[in-house]
Amino acid sequence: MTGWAVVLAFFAYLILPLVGILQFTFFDGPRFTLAHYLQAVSDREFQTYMGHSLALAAATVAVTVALVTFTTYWVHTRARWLKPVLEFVAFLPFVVPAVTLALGLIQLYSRPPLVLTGTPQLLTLAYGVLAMPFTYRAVENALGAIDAQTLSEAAQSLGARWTQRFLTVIVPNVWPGVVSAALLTFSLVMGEFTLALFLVGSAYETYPLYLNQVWRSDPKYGAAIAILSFLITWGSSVVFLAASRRAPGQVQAALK
Amino acid sequence: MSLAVPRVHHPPSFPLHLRLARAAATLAGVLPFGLFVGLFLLLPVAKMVAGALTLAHGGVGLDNFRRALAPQYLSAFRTSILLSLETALLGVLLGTAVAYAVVHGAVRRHQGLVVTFCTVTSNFAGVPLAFAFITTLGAVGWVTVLVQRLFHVNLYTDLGFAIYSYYGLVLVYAYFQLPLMVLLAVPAMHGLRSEWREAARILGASPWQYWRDVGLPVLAPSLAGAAALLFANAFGAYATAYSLSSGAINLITLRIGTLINGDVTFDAGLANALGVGMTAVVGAAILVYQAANRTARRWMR
Repeated sequence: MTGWAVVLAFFAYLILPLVGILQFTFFDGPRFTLAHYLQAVSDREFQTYMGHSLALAAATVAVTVALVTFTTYWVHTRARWLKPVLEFVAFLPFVVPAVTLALGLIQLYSRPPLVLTGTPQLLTLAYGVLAMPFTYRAVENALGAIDAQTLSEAAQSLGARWTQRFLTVIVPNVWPGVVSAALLTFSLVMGEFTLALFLVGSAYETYPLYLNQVWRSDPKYGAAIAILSFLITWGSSVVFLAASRRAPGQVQAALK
Repeated sequence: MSLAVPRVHHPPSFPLHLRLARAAATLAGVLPFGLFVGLFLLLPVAKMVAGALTLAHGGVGLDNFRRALAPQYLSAFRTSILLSLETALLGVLLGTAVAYAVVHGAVRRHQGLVVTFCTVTSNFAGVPLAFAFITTLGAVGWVTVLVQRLFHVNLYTDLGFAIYSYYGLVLVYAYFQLPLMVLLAVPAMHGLRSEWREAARILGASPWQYWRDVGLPVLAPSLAGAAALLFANAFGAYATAYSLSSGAINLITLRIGTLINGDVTFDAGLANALGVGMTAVVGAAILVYQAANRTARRWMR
């Protein structure tokens, strides 16, 4: 009985604010309206900034997941002695809050030789750092569950080059880990505010920055597009999940 | 007498230059990742530390750190640490209770539903979360209005509550801490076998004894880890506080933000010193966790 009470109270606490933001966007006084949502249809800025965020999320997923998956595989099969170093490095971003990472990056890349502040490239790589701990965790768990060493050596003895071994043997077998890492990274980038504010600001405005700005001038519309961003993030995740259900050429019975 | 077996340390078939080439190839494989981490994680942190130790007119000194100890920054650190500790503890206590109820307790059947709901809501943070709470518990939020209508009590004028206040922030932070804790605690709860509880009961242990001698020791390492993670999560949070309070609450992340973003207030040296302080606080939290983890593991034996 207490169990139910605790869980129901927990649910109520999580649902009340959602009810708040939804009723705020759907009602003008007592009158139901969709106007605040329809406003987004003709809002060019909304589309541009949503495009920016989606592009950043896709780029971050591609860069981080490829880099982390490959490096984890490489260390696993060819340089085991580097594993403690990799574990430590993958843990480090937890100790460096986003504001402090931004602080370091701004000072490093706002003057020659490398001027990167204001570019989406810098933001992508900084997001890569934020996403690294759980990308590494997801891939490492998946690699630990298969016998990567044996699979890799078997492929090698059959004459596969290392690119082939990685792409056609290892990747299909750690695919679930890769997918969950990709989803986590994607939703992280779609909602990230701090690094975007400090590293690029209005030079490459992202969706969360736009939300914050709209909220101050037109709260109803701001709240409506906050809901929309939530739906778009979840919608993309569902589509991505469905598309990646089966890895290309997945080996059905992995070596155990 | 044993047979003398010649020990071979290196396969003799590979000449030195081939072994060197192999080592180079191995290192080449980790080079891209090494460059990425070096340029976008290690170097920025090094730059921050170096900047904190650099004086305004050049030279090395602790001047920035001395300025970082000014009352307003100490108070910002205190508020941030307190807020993170409180919401982490709140998260651990309530999150563990919810996880227990959905894994072993009355709500077992709906575990999938609760976990899905937590996944959705733990992503609901930052700017949108601030909107959701303002429309709910703001001065004219729907719950504030409802309470006024039903009980003729105004949360703001009668009870002195404000969503922009410290306790408002606790309430908002708990929104991303609680579901995260549930997600972290559910797998740990699966490690707690229901047979142990039954065995303890049959042997005459009270529920209190069961929790003291079996339940808590088993869960302690995961709970300590989760607490450290929640602490770091709240301590580094910026967006939620920024869009909720517009700087009305003195948090260390907001202070650093003002220092690096403002034209008038731009002060990199001071921001660097505060940033080093933040990193040290999170580092200390991790060390406390590791010590707690070691103790907990010894306790289990």
